[in-house]
Amino acid sequence: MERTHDELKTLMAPFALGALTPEEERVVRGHVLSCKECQRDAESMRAAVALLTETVAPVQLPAGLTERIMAAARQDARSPAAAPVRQSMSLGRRWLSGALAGGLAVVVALGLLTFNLVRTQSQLDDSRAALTALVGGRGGFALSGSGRAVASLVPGDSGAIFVAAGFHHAPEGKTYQVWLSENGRMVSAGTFDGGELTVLHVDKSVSRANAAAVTIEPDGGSRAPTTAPLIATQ
Amino acid sequence: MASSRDSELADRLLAREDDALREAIARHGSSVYGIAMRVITEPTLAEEVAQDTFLALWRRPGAFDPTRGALQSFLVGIARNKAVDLVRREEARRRTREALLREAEIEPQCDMHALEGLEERAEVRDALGRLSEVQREAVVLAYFGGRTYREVAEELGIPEGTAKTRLRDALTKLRTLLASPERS
Repeated sequence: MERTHDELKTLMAPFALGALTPEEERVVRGHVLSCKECQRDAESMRAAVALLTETVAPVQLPAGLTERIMAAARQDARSPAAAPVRQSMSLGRRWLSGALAGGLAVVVALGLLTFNLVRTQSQLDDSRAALTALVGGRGGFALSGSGRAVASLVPGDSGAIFVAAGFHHAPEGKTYQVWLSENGRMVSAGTFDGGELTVLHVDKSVSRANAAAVTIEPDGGSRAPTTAPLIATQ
Repeated sequence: MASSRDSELADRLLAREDDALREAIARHGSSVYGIAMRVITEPTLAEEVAQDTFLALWRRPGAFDPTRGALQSFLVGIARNKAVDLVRREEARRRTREALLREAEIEPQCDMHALEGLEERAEVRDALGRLSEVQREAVVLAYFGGRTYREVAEELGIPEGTAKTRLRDALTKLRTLLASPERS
């Protein structure tokens, strides 16, 4: 159901407080990315919530927790994030020969997962969660929206790799555009025309971005998003 | 706005220095664990939340933007959301309204504990105390109790619109206290 700006505007306080259902939060987040007024409002509410976080009395960490976290972080750095994917993708494993660099293998595995996502709509939410966990582990982003289209953006050897699936071909005179949000500014990361599966090399680092989105724009792309995101980081 | 210490720590995290992660835990671990305990009270789960929070920072340091706020708020926010996810999945873990409100009134134990920013925190607690009772109740239920605004409305027996307004008014009030001269 499409919600109006006026309706969504009343949800900025619950949004900032994390007091929405996940579905509502998706809708509001998408709106905030494209509406300057609500963006300002959400930002101001968020600053008040930050003040709330300061009211929390600290509790001393249990003994050994710091070391357990450090060990988990080291473990994380060693284990390839694609491990859980490989188990469920025997086809992918067969043609991912040893000649492929580890980083590329991860990207291909992610591409397959992204692609498979749109085939298993019955479990869409579970698959989205899996994709989020997976690309999160690689320092990347999982993008989704209310429809079938999904995408992932992960750091590559240079820049990043964008994989999208479930997009229709863009209509005549239009193109899809990928955006990275850096310090509240939307920076273009390239355009694509849709179709079953898109793999795009992004010539930018994603390490400084804190969100990503895809909008539909006039051919050639825009300098800043002119429409509401079709999919975005959730 | 984040301090230069936060920015420097953020840069080191981006450079994958694991000492930087250790430092972040040393500086903010007790706040992160504090919010987790406040929301779920079960130590094992709170530890899990704290661990997941710092691993999230380690995996995607770029998600923290020093120009938008302090690292402590960022981490406490992540931990709060993770703890709330757990509470929402298991109804039985929900804390009662009474317990949540009681806790919002207890003064911090500020004996000789040399915890950084304690004075400031006492002042902020006071800020929470300066909200009207109905505003405080709504905010505490939503933020620390993990209720959605609809659940807040239901639990307090008020219309949804009123719940949204109370939450907005509370945050607006906190925002004015934040901007007041005695804080700067």
